Parts: sequence; C-alpha cells; structure tokens
Amino acid sequence: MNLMKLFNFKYLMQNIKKSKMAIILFLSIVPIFTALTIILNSSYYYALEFYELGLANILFMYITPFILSFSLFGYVFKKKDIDFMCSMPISRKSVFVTNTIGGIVLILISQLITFLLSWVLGAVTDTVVFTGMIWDLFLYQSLAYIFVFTVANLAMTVSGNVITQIVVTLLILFLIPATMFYYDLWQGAYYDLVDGNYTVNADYTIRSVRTYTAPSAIFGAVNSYWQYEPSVASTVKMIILSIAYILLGYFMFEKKKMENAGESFEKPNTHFLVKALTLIPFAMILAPCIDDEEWQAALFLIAIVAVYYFIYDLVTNKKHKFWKSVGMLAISLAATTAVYGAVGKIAEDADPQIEMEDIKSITIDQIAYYMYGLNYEITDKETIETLLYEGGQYSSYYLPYDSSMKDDVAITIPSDQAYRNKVRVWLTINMKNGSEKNTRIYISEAFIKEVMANTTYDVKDVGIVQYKEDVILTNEEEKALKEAINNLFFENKWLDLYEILNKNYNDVVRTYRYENHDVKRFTVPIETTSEIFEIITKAENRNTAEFTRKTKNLETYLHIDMYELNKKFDYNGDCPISVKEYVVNHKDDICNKDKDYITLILDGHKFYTNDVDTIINLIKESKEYKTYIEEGYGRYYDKYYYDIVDDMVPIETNEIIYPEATSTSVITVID
Amino acid sequence: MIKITDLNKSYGDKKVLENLNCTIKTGSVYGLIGANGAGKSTLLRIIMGIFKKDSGVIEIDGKELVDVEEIKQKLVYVPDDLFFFKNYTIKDMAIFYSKLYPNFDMDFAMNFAEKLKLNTNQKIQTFSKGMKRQAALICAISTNADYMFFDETFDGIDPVIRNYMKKVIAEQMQKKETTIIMTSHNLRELEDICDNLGLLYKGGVLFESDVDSLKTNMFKIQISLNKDFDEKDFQNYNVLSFKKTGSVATIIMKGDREGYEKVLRDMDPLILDFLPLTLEEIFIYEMEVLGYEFNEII
Repeated sequence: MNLMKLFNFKYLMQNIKKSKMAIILFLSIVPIFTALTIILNSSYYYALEFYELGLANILFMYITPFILSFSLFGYVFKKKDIDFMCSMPISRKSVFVTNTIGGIVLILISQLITFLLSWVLGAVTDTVVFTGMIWDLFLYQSLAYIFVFTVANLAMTVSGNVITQIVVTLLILFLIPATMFYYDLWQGAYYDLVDGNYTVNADYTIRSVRTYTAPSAIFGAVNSYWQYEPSVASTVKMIILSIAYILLGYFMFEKKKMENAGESFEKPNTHFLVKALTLIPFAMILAPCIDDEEWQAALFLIAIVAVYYFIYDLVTNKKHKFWKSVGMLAISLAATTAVYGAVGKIAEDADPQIEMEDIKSITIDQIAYYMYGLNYEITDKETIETLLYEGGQYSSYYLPYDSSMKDDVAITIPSDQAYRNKVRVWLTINMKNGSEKNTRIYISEAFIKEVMANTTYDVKDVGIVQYKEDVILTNEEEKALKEAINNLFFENKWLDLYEILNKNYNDVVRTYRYENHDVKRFTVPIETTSEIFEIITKAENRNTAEFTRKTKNLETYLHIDMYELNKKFDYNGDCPISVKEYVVNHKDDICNKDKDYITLILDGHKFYTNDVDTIINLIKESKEYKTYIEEGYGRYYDKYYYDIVDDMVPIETNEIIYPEATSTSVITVID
Repeated sequence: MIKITDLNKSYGDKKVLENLNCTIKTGSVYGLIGANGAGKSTLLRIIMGIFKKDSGVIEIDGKELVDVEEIKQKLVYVPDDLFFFKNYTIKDMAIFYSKLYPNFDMDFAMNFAEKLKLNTNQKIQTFSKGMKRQAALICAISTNADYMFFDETFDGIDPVIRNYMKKVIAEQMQKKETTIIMTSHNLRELEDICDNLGLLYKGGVLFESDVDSLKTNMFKIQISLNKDFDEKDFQNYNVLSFKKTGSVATIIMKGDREGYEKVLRDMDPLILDFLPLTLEEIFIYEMEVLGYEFNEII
C-alpha cells in the first residue's frame, strides 16, 4: 500500500473546502477554550495541572474528532451524496487514505495551534504554563484525538447512518474499559493485604481502567476521582489501536455497501446485536438491582429500557415487527444482565490480595493538603511494611469528629484518640507488574518524620514561579531565593518545611516544576530558613512600607499575628498613626526568624519585625487601642487553642463536622 | 466501448440485476429504458463504482473496470437525485470538478452557463429544479469525459432548454467521440437523441437495438381494398398487429419497406398510407412479439 500514491491532495482540499465551517470550528475550538482557561486562571498565580490546562482539550476529545470524521466521511450516509461523491474519479482506497491522513493533519494543526497559544499566553499572563506540560498535552492529546478519529472512521465503515456510527464509536471506545470498570467496582472496596490486618482502600483502583486509552478516563469522573494524566500504557495502546483501526477501516471502506445508506446495518441481526450491546449500561445497573432484590427499581429500569429500545429503532431508521422487537428486547436484556451479573460475581469472588513481595515501592503523593506531588519514593521493604501497618488501620475516607464548645469557641477533634496526632497521607502502591493501587492512610507524625528524614529527596532545580502579588522581588532577590530553596532541598531539610507550614501557611513561597509528566508543587513557608525568611520579609517590608507611606493619612486596618509568641495580646482595629510611622521609618530593618518577631498586617500587607515590645507599646498607647478594648474585642486571642482543648467538655450535637485536612494540629476552630 | 457480461447485483435477498449483458458502442448515445425499479440506476451506479457488483464483468475500452482514478476520469455521472455542496455556486462546483477531472474545460463551463442565463456566482440551492439540472449537466459535460452517464437527466427541464442541451450534447459528441448513456422511464425523452436503445426488465436487458434500424424495419400502414379482406390476406407477411375498423385496416409490419410497398400496391388498394411509428409504438409491438405487455414493462 503506497500511501503517497493514494493520497490525493486536491481532493482533500476540496473536501475541506466543502466543510470549511466545521473544519474551522474544529481547528479553533480547542485553542480558544484552552486560551480562555489560561486567561481565566491568570489572576490566581496558579500553575495549572495537566488536566486543568487541557480541560477543554480533553472534553472536546469526545466530540470534535467525531465531527471531523463526519465532515470528511459523512456523505456515506446519504444516497444522493454518495451518488455524487463516489462517482468522482477517485478510488475508495484513495478517499479513505486521503481523508484519514487529512484528518490526522488537521488534528495536529489544531493541537499545534493550542500548543503555540498556550506557550505565548503562558509567557504573557501570570498563569504558570510549563513548556513540558504543553508539549505533553500536544503529544498525548494529538494521539487521543487521532485515536477517537480512527474509531469514528471505523464505525463509519460499518454504519448506515450517523446515529449508528455514534453508537458503534461509543461501543468501540468504551465497551472494554466499561467492563473493566464494572469489574473493579464489583471487586469490592478493599484489597486485602496478605495477612488480612491491613486493607488498601480500593476506591482508586480504576486508575488501571483509565490508562486503557485516553477517552476511557471518563470512568474516573464516575468515581468522583477524575485526574487526567498522560500514561505510557495508554499511549502505547492508542498508537497500536489507531494503526489497527486505520488498516481495518481501509479494507472495510473498500468493501462498504453504499446502498445501505440510511439504514443502521446491512443485516438485521447486526442491528439487533449492536442494539443489545447498547443495553450494557442498563444491564450494569439492573444486575445489582436484581442481586439486591430491589424489584421496584428493577422494574422501573426495565420500563426505561423498553422505551429506549423502541426509540433506538426510530432514530436508527430500522423497522421491525412489534412482537419481534419485544422478543429481542427480552432476550437482549436478559443476556446482557446475565453476563454482567456473572462478571460481578466473578469480581466479588476474586478476593484480590496485595502480596507484600509484589510491591515494588510506595510513592507519597500528598501529605495533608499541603504537599503535592512529592515524587517521594520508598523502596525499602521494612519501611514499606511499617508504613502500611502503622497507617493502615483506618480505611474510611473521613475520620469521625466530635464537636465541643468552650468559652464560645467551637472545637472539633477526632473521636478516636488514636488519630489525634496523625496525618493523612496519600499513597500510591507501585506493584512490580506495573499496576498501581492508590490509597489514603493516617499515619503518625513521628513516623513520617523518621521515614522522610532518612530518605533522599531528589528534587533539583526548583523554579520559583510567583510569590504574593504585592511583593515584588528584585532580580537579585529572586535569584538568591531560588538558590536558597535549591540548597534547602539538597540538604534534606524539607521536614522542617512541613512543621512550619502547618502552623502558619499564609506565608509561603510556592514553587513548581514539571517532572515525569506531572506537576511537582512545593509550598515552602518563608520561615524555613533564615536566608529565605530574610529575603522574603525584606521585600515584603519594603513593599508594605511603600504602601503605608502612600496611605499614611487614610484609615488602615491593622491585624497583629501573635501565634508564634506566648504573649497575651491581640489587636484587630484601626492602625495607629504611630505604627504607620514606624513601618515607614523601619523599612530597611531585617527581621530575624530565630528571635521573637511579630507580623503586622496592614490592609493585607505584611510587615515583619523583631521589635515586638515597641510595637505592642505603640499600639497600647494609641487611642485606637482604647476603643478596641472598650468594645470588647480580642477575647479569643489571649489563649492558645491547646489551653481550651486540655480541659474541654464534649457537648452533645448531632452535627458531625468533617474537616478538610488532618495535620499536626487536629483542631479546627470555628469562629 | 462498454461491454457488460453476466452482471449480477442483489440488495439483500432482492435481485436487482440478474445476468445482465449489454454492449454500448463508443460514440453512441445509448438510451436505457425501463420501469421504476428495473435496475437502470443500479446499473449506472455499478459502472460508476458507487455500488459494488456481486458478480460479472464490466469492460471499458477492452479493460476490466476497476476502482482506479485513471479509469474513473473517463466517466462522469449525473444522478437522478442531484447533489450540490451547500452554499456552492456553479463556479465553485466547476472548480471542484476541475480538481478531479484533468480535462475539465472551465471556459466552456462558464460560457455554457452564460448561454443558459445561469448566474455562476449564485448559490445553486436557490436555483429551480430545472436550473439545478442544467448546472449539473454543465459541470458534467465540461469534464470532457469519454463516457457520460445521465440518469433521468432531462426531468424538469423545459423543452427549449432540453433541445438546447441535446444540441450541446450532439456537438460534444462530434468534438470528441463521447459516449452518452441516458436512462429514462419515458421513451419520448430519448427518442430524438438516442441512436441505441436497451430495455431493462427484471434485472436484465430484455431488448436492445439501434434506433435507425428499428424505425426503418417497422412501419404502420393504413390500407383499404376494393374487396372484403381480413388478416389472412396478409398471412405471408410479417405482421405484428392487425386492426380493422370498417373497411380500413391498420397494420404494423416488420421487414423491408420497399418490398412490402410493391406487394401492397399490386393488391390495387383504395387507400394505402405509410405512417411513421413512434419509438414507443415500436417498443410496444416488439414487446408484444416477445410476449410482454409493454405497459407492464414501462
């Protein structure tokens, strides 16, 4: 098969010309929506994840390649279009090769436009767009679009109308991954670790399904854990399947019986078979209904299926005798329900276990909600075992919490004392066979510290993307900060970052890098090292002083952050003029993190100083402070929360509050 | 020349063409007639490569017809149900054809359209049915293809334009030895242009002949003799039909007209008129000879 001989450029150009509106839509829709994604996120100084940057690209993957296929091949569904197009002096082989190559080129052009637009917008907006990520997006989404396009083309070769083409496309794309997904769901929520003492929450085992092909990632959304990411397995599958579908489509298009245009399939039996396959989603719901003896739900579902079954014939333009259709419906539904009921039973009985010896490593994906993509891989057998047994006792998603009240302060703490000092950690268990199991565990702070302190952390060359919007670093400062953070990681000190992060997570430097097709996101508290602290606070003080100088005579709100100091003092009110003068006059002061210091927050702008007593005195001597005291504010800031916890009395409440994160301090104060 | 041998085609269980044999000479205008569903359009679609044949051989210029560009460039087809791309003008359609037919004559197409008073920049979808047919014919004729297939082509075209079209087709044939294959279920449409006719019935060519020999070999006479007479008086001649009303008989005869005229004059007739037969009449009588009711066939 000489592809170049079969490729007819003139025909392609004419074919594109006749469908120019659809083609223009195809070429522009993904770039436009991707550009919008970048622009709309530009105000958040945000590094987009792969699935976030590619959201439009991913969603349109299910539609636009099909539209492209229809634009190029849609004539095969209308008799008069066929008469015209097929009579033209171009062979069917040539038509198929030309349209397939043309479609692939159009897909690549669309993705290239998206790539270039993303790259330019990443450079001119504040959204963090990694070149590596958009390159990955270009390659992976191009493959995904080509894959869907080839599936749609293959479906076209066997279908007589567009509805049938859609149905066949969906069946080719989703029949196998849907069955795998169904199997996983029935397999139960837990994988047992060999000795039965530990269970891995298997909510996320559908990862294996999602890596079947890119479009099958949609099943991740069904399980409310949708994270679209490039996968080697998926890439290889899509390449192989695309080539296979192109070859198969080539031969089937050559033999396609054009006289069947308008009808679903040439043979009625094929129509019945495909229609029966479309009942699989219903069978997947009906089988468990019957298994659970939910007869009412089952009957309701059967009624829906019956309506669907007859509508299907109407839209696919196939007429059958009524009683024959009823009979086929009964047989089809019974067969599909029986098959998927059996699949469910097999899955249930499979009782999957994770053998310790099958585990290659464990990757810590996230700790609490603060550290993302740590790329932290544990290969030591003993550590893995200890980690899983230590943390694996609790498999439920949320810890049950109690609410209590003390001095008008509502406090929620874990009901189970054993979890009060545990941290939620997201893990990926990497199996030797290449599969992955994802789970969450609650693990003691002490243990995680110990493990991490003894493990090499392999982050290199961290790029600082953005610090707070109103803090402008000079080039020298930015260079120094980057160097400091790089040194920090090399010196294995990130454990300290973790400690500080949870105590004061507002003052952080966020750094990002794209590595191994994934965004590595680091949140570095400025208190991590003296060097970082000095760089940031100096820049921040400089900016705050400038802000204060400009607004000296205006009313400014002052908040004092005293969490780090055991001083029974708080202030949240109008900023005294004396404090403003202090800020302006001490703009070049350097704050030392190793001494006591306070943070003044003036209308959101921060000023760090070790001159704690001076500031407190300036405030206490001001008229604004007198008003503040007289009005009775500040009651909640004169104690540590721990003081409340120590002698709190649980109150009866029906409300169970689920905190978003469990960290070193497991207390959430609701004010 | 197009030679079709034992062509078969079925739509599911329904046989549409059954062992069809047919020969179309180069440079002729071949009229294919038959009732709706006789298989005329199917035959054209198979020749054009639109439908796949079940079995049989189609040869064009001595070579078996296969789905390759070089051979298909010799063929152009105007279907019964016309198709034009949405929002396309005649000029756009002409450009489309010109990209696929190397001998497409753009100047001829534009001049042709101008003579027919068709606006080449107007969207074809705004045209009347007849104008659309004209547009399709303009594009097809301008391809300069060797074989042109017109399926019920002159439907909806007014007589003046129809005659003009026929004239252009005749000129085209003179210019280049083009072979025209036209289908119709109406013999009158084909009468004044075709020089060969084939009658398609139940998937096969029931009858095939050139029009000139049909017209010269069959004739109608009105005769009255000075004595009482009946059909037996003509039993030695090839009489296809004999009808007598009063003393005048109308006879359809087949054979050598000059020979018959001499013999009939020898009978000393009171009236002897030779009347022309329409193609439809010729077919009716031919079919009757073959044992078919013409009205059932067309």
